[in-house]
Amino acid sequence: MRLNKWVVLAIRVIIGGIFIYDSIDKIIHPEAFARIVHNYRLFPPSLINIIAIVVPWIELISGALLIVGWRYKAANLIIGGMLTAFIIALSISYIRGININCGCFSTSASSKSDLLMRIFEDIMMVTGCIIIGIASKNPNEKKEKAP
Amino acid sequence: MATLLKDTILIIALSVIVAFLANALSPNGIGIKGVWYDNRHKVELAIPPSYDPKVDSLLTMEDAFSLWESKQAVFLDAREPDEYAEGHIPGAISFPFEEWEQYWDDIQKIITPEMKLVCYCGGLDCEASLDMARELKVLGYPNAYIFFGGVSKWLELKLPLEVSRETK
Repeated sequence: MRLNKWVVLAIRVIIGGIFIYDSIDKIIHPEAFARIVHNYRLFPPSLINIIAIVVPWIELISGALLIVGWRYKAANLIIGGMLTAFIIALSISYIRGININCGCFSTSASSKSDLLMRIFEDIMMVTGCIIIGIASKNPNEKKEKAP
Repeated sequence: MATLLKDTILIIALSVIVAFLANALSPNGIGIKGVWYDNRHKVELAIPPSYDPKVDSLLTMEDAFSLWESKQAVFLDAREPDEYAEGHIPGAISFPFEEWEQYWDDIQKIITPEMKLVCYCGGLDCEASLDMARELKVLGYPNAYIFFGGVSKWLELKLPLEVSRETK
């Protein structure tokens, strides 16, 4: 499968940009984000603040690296992994019927978000990560075959 | 593959360090360990035997915690003063239901009809919270809620209690 490098770059910029955008509000308002983490009803009390402190920075740094291109394959892997975790957490909430404010684009307590829409968005982004992963692998393989 | 793994660990480690540093320096920073209760299992709504859905506004643990945490409500402890002194929900005001008249003048100075009031007592074997909220509603405080789970539920979920200085 041949992929135009500009298309791949565009995907990297979009996903990286979304991750940076998402992370900033969470970094500025860690308390509000901690409440959202709590609302998922998935984590023990002792882990909630640690998750709220650490996760947004992983998002921010990985998102930035994905755009800049420095060690972006690893950043892509981390983002893909996080998205998979988000999809699992959101699906569990959906199945359990928990009404949470998904802390994806806003930490405002009043904003109720459609879980299904959020899951769909994350699946789209995971697909993007897979495309980036495949595209970044191909040139290396060619190099190895024909040194 | 090894480089990818190494880079992944590097990025995560870097993020963790930056995260804790930034949190420590930020004015909005939060403690490493927050005050949360374990909500991984469903918390049932405690319903008093004499519950009347037309009159009583019951709060789930979730709602009570949220109001407490965001300081959006005044918590009124309907138990006896010595029980209050031994340990109450942090920030709650002592308002023994049995000694209503003695306390009412002072309480009236603190509360307003617009305020959210959360009445609670010992827990499942105590209906003072219920009676208090009903009384307050009659007196023109429509936002009087009942947290029927009370202190026993609060403790069960390992949430902190405040001890009054006057004791001992």
